[in-house]
Amino acid sequence: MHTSLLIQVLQEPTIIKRFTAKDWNLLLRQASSAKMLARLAYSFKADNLTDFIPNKILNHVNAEQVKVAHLHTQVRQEVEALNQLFNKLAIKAIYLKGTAYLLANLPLAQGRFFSDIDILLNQDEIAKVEVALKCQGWKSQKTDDHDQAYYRNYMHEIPPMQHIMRGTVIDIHHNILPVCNDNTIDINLLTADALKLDDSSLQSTVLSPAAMFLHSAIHLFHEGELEQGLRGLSDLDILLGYFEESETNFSQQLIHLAEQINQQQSLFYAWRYLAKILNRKLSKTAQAFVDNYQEQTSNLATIDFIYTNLFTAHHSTTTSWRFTLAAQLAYWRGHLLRMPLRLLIPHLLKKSWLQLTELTKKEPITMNKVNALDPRFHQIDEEK
Amino acid sequence: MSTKTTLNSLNAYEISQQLRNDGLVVAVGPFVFCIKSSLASIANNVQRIYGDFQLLSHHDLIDFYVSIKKPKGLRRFIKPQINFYCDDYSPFLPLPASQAFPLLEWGMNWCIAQHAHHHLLLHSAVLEKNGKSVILPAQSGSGKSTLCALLALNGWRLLSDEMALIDLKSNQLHALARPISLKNESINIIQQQNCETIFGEIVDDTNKGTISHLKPSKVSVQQVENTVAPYAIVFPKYQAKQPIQVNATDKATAFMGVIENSFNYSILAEAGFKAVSQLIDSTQCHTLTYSSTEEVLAFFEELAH
Repeated sequence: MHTSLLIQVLQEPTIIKRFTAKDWNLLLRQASSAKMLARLAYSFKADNLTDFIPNKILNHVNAEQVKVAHLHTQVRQEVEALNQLFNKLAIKAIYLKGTAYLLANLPLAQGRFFSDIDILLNQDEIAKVEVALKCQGWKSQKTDDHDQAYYRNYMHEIPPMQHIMRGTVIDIHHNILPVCNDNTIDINLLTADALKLDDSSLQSTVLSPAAMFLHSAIHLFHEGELEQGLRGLSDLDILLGYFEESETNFSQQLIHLAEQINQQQSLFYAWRYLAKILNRKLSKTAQAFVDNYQEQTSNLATIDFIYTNLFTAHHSTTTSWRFTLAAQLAYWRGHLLRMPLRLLIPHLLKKSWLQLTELTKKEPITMNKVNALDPRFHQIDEEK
Repeated sequence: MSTKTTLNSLNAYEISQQLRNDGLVVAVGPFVFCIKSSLASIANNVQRIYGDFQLLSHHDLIDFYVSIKKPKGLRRFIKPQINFYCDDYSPFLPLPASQAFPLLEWGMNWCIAQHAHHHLLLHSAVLEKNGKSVILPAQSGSGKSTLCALLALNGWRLLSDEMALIDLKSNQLHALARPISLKNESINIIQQQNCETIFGEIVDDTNKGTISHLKPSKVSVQQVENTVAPYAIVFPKYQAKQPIQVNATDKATAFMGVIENSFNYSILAEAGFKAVSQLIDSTQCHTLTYSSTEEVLAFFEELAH
């Protein structure tokens, strides 16, 4: 297995004390492509290693932190406006993922980019919210009928909505996994212990610690494209470290909730790869669960192949045939987890046909679009 | 005199080999670029224009890995195109292969504008004479680059024709001394000046028209590490057949003019506001309309006295 320098640093940050310029160059490239540069900075700071970072590298790190701070300010402003709307409609909304980590002031939020504001709503209330959002300048990003139908009939979310002036994107969910599959989650079990945060002005709701961790794990281990996979695993690492301190019996809470929503597998994978890739020490309860679950698992060799190869920096310096194969396997696994074959095949055929017909309509390239010095270019477009 | 190794120490073959293989590592002001490309036009232009720049190696810290590549597949034979990459990421749509060098220049600007947030970044030309610096913020089409080239050929040290870098800690201007990008009739105007000029290849039919890059003077490149305090901000506008007109700009208007031309004012948040306030407080600000070369050079000459 090829170990990237980024992973070595995540496992043992003190190795940077012996870094040459060449090592720093490689780490900068790998960490930037994994969107983990600002995160690394926080871990260096926590380990008192900042003095070992050369100034040139530190400039890049600081630039990332400036961008993250800017993003977080924007998100807080959007959340304030959204909460006013939800209050007016008397609707309970739960913030998920990046936005939730930020609102709950978790250490995980520091140095973490995210592209959309994710919100979980009661399915019956989505239509009402959608109309209200449209009145405030939010517009559906998907305009063609096929995409609209795909989201609304089969997925766990409606098509993303983007604000016409500010460009912010919100993702409105009514579940955390596609509803066209057999393994649908009873969302009420996941949201039962949701927490109202006491941040006086915002009054936002987020998932309970166990539900937050499990959601993050379920999301990561159902994902077919893992460009940001290592970042996702590192998210779990930081969440676990934090909640093991703040919660009593966190491992037991996780096992209990995973059993309730029938997602033991995602929890198993999370613990397994946290230990395997990031050297995290598991609690006794967690280790017992992992050992026990492993015995009942049959296709673990394939899954190991996928994740040991893909939880790395996705960068030209780390590719190999194993990586390419693992990425293909993950892609198909992700699709099959999203949709049963009877729906997936017609969907992919339709998609390819639409893409082919789009090609013939493509506009000629104009130089205006590449004017790098146009200030409009200078937006945060970190996560495509 | 510094004893730094420059690209002039390499011959054309060595330059093209380095560009082809691991990449040519070159210092551009405070930044270090590793440039990779197998295209002959990139090698030619780099050799012509970047000769005085400092040559570094892969054992130095590198800020940006940039490359210009042809896309794979049959497309490379019919109407060949090229892509710019900043490491593995390609931020722009492909362009016709003839525009490789302009694309590299834009791409390098993009890298700086996206990542150098330890500076306040302005879309602006910057020059210096007698220790007095002028910042010329302007949108495309205002004649900024032509004016910049005229000044650079008349005793002013070139800091940048496209971007002002103002250090957030020291408030000093950093230089890039990159080639000056000239368009259409500006190329003729500058070629007709009574001084020695070296141009890169002339590229026709870009969406901005014809483009060519003017090699920066040796002195400007050798002094690229010298920072300078901001002295004056002049908002220039070329207006055909008009006599020169200079008006003092009030601080509030100048402030707005600066942020309109900033790449990262909003991202920098409070630090951005402080940097622009400090800049405006410490400089004299003018708007300038002109058409005559003599008149405008005389104005700047007086400013530098």
